[in-house]
Amino acid sequence: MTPVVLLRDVSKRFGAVTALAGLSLEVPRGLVFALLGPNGAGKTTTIRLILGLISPDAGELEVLGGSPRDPAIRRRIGLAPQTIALYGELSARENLALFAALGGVPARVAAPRIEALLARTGLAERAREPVARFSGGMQRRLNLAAALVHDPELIVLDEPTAGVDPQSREAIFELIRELRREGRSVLFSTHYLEEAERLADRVAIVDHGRVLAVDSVGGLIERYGGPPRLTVEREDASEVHETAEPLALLLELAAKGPIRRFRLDPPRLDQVFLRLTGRDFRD
Amino acid sequence: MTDPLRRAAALVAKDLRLWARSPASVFFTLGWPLAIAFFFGLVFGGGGRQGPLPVAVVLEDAHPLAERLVASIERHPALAVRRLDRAAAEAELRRGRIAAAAILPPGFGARLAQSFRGEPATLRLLRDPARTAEALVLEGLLTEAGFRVAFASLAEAGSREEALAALRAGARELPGEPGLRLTEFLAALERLLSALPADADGTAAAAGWPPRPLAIATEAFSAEGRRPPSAFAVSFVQAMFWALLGAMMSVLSELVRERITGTWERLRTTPASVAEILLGKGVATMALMIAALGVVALAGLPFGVRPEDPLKLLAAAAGGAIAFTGLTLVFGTAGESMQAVHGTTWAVMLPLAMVGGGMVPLMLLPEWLAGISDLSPVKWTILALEGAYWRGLGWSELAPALGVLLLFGVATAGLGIVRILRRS
Repeated sequence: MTPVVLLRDVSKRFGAVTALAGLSLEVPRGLVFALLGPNGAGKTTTIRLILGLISPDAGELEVLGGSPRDPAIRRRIGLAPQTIALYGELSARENLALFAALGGVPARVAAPRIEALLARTGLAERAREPVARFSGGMQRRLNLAAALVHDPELIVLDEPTAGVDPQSREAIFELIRELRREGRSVLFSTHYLEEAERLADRVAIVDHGRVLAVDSVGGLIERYGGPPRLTVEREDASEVHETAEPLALLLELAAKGPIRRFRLDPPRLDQVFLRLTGRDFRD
Repeated sequence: MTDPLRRAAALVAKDLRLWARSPASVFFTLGWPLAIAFFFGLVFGGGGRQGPLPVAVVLEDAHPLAERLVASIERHPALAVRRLDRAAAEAELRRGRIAAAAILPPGFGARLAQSFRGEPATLRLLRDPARTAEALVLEGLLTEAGFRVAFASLAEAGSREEALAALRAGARELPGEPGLRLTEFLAALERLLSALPADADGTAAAAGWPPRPLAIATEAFSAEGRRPPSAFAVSFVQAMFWALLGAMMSVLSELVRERITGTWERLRTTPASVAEILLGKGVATMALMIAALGVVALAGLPFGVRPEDPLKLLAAAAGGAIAFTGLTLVFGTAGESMQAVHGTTWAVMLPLAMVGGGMVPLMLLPEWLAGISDLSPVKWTILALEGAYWRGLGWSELAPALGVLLLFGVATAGLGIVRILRRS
């Protein structure tokens, strides 16, 4: 199946700064795809390229089988930017109506769709209020709804849960899962490991303008996570061991002396990142 | 409606809604200009009918001619004359309640009766130092009244004898032929005056006496041939400039806010092209400006500010809106922050307004400054608007101003669009 996004050896520089250094990526259709990386890794530049806001210096770029600068392609893409890109003086309904009109949705089709989206994001009761009066979480949900109002095939979310309260975060997670169930393709960038682990079918780990690895979370852990971690606590000290045979090791350690407590941690995504980049994810 | 038009219409509606929901934008586009129109209209004479000039007369002489002169100026419509004693007149002058006081001292009337010979009758004029022009007006009116009263007295039997006797005595003192001829002339004059029928009040003669060798027909005349019917006609046109500026600042604020909040970038990810987004912005700006001018024009109606030709007003408003929309697009790229854009806009617009007659009427500017006003779109906007209101400009006379505004608007809009596209 043709990927919804295809980047081949794409480079992009801003003056002396290299934002992307030969980045290659394929986003399969109908999946939730995460671009995971720390700030400055190149995630936002990749998204801006995919949206046609900037052009690559080198390399190939294809979105939904065409150029993202083509209005017909743009009509099939929905964006929820990292900032709350809404008009604060307009109501939730007016904001959605504006983006529906810009997305080429006729008014008679837009009206019921807007009401459905307002209900889906829990904003129906405050649909007539200026958005500036909304909480951060409500604005974030509306930001996402505005990306969906023209019924796009590919939804691009740039840090969709940045700075939101736990309740809104869960609502956004649920919305993304619904989008997957509807068969849409979702590409989101994040620097939250948990977000990638909970939502993504596939994760691309990005750093220094390159994709270091792409796979499912399980696949990444299997390939790059290393062995499980066994932590053993004795009376006077504790020890940490990485081993593919934790039971055998535990028995061996128990034979050497009494163990007060032990814990077995399976490999995690942050260990994958550590192994791939040589630094902690928080760096 | 085609897709591009539908998208542009949505963008226009969005910008107009945003303007209407910003109290500061509404105030600076409508409230502030109207306040300026009312305030300066009132300060500079309101409806244009200034009250009569307040003056005082101190009559210290009981001679009938003195009384007659006072009565003459009391009847003048340009003067509000109060008869006061000298102390009261001086007190009123000190308080600034009158512009001047004319003092007719004892013996003034008798001297006026013999004014065709010897020393002239002299009255004292005390004036407020701050109101020299008004005092000069009063001086002229008093001089005219004095001549009329003196000449009129010749037509009256009683005072004529006294005046002619004085003149005859003077003629006798002239040696030779001139004295002889003057004596003959006075005899003929006496016969003529005796034959004139007197007015009912006996103070003046009919049949063209006294003669008026000079008549002055006064009318105000502006460079283009008309005068503003009132101070409001000037202040409301200036208010229209401020309305354009207010609309421009509110659109600029929104433009910068769109860039800062990311809505501009979000708009660019929609199927709407940059050209459609800019078209929407431009149309919204023009519509807002024309609507603001319409509101100011309507507010002027109760103050008697009516366009001579509404079509010309519409054309002038459109011309101004085009020029200021172009400027808006240029200033929109003047910086990344609100402060940078507003600072640059004010730094450019204030001098343009100053030399263009937006702050001080062009006629009051020094010559060298008025000379460079052609460079300011503010001047052409005000000229076109005044042309529609009271300058009586025909379409051919209005065309240069409209042409300049159109060219200016197209050039600045082009520059603004190029800069926006480069940034995009």
